[in-house]
Amino acid sequence: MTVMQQPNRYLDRPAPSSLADVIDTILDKGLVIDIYVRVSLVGIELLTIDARIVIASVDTYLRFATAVNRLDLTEVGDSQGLPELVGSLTSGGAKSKTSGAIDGVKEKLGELLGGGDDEEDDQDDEDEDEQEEPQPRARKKTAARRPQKRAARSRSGG
Amino acid sequence: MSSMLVHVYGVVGADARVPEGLRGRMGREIRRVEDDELAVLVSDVEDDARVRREDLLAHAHLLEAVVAESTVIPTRFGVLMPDDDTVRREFLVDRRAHLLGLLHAFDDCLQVTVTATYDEEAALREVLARDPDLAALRASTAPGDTSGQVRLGEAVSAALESLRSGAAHLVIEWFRPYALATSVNEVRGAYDVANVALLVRRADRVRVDAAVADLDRQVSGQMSLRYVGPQPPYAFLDHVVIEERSWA
Repeated sequence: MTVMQQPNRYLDRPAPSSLADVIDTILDKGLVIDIYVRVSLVGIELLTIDARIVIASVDTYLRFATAVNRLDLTEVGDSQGLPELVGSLTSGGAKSKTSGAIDGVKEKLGELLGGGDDEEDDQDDEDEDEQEEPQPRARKKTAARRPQKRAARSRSGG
Repeated sequence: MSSMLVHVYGVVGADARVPEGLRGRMGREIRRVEDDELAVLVSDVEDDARVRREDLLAHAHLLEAVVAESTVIPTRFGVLMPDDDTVRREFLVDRRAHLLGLLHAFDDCLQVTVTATYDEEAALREVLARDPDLAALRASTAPGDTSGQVRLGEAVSAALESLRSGAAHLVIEWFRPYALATSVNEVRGAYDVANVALLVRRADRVRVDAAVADLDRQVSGQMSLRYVGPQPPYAFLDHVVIEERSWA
């Protein structure tokens, strides 16, 4: 029921990437030469890496409601600490980029999963003709473009 | 029957120190396709090989092992070339100047990534304490009133969003003194606050480690941090993604 992530307590030095981190790194960034991008198939496990996702949905709202209802407010008053730290910076310029992440993940997985079927790769040389557009015709869907940021989250009162 | 392709991981300077005995996808030995200035790190892979989670991690961890010692320009996962000659042509000839420029630009730099996640209970207490209307809504909504509960959850979600943007700002500002550049990734978890990539000098790693540990102590009980690295400068390569038009 909880949506917390497991804390990682190795903070005197950084830890190696986990599977969740690759979505922001090797699947999204780095040198890419489109005509050679070929990713045949991703194991279904990848689908599970971001099961806990922010998304505006009735389910999520009910989960928040359940969580907030669980609180025992008689203990209120000891939630100090962060307010002091954050207080002076509240509503600062850093716009949170939380957006429909699940769409991005799905999109990316779709690209990866979809790339496996057509394996023809003989267009390499002909792509050198004068093409202004960096859009080879048989471009694999696997190029893992950065997902469009979109506001899947309805912003009521935010 | 499958033939072999060449999986490309990234590019280092030919004289860069690279750890010995590195392994890549499927435990295969890392080879170098190199000339006098550049070395492309590659390994062999069957052309019908499927991508498993181990393959993704192998690519990421290989690059992390390399960047711990030397600047590396990472290749996005999935660039597979038919043979070493193609690697040579595409990287060492056609993109030579560009790669040398990137290696120079990121000389002695690496990326680390800090993710901050609210403790669920701390976050909920905080939004209730800040917003009496929300606390009142909570108190007045009957457990069996499903649409009321949805409205309550939606209000909580909105309140968390504003809490999040304040906290994200805090995290970013915290690291600004230590970073040559910062880049904000999307956050994914419901209580994630910030996912910030920092471009830092290798020589500053100890200071950055200390800053992370310090922030971790400061927010203890309220947030937990994840600290990942060292990584190649993924988040800072965006504007230099190589397209085919670089032939022109």
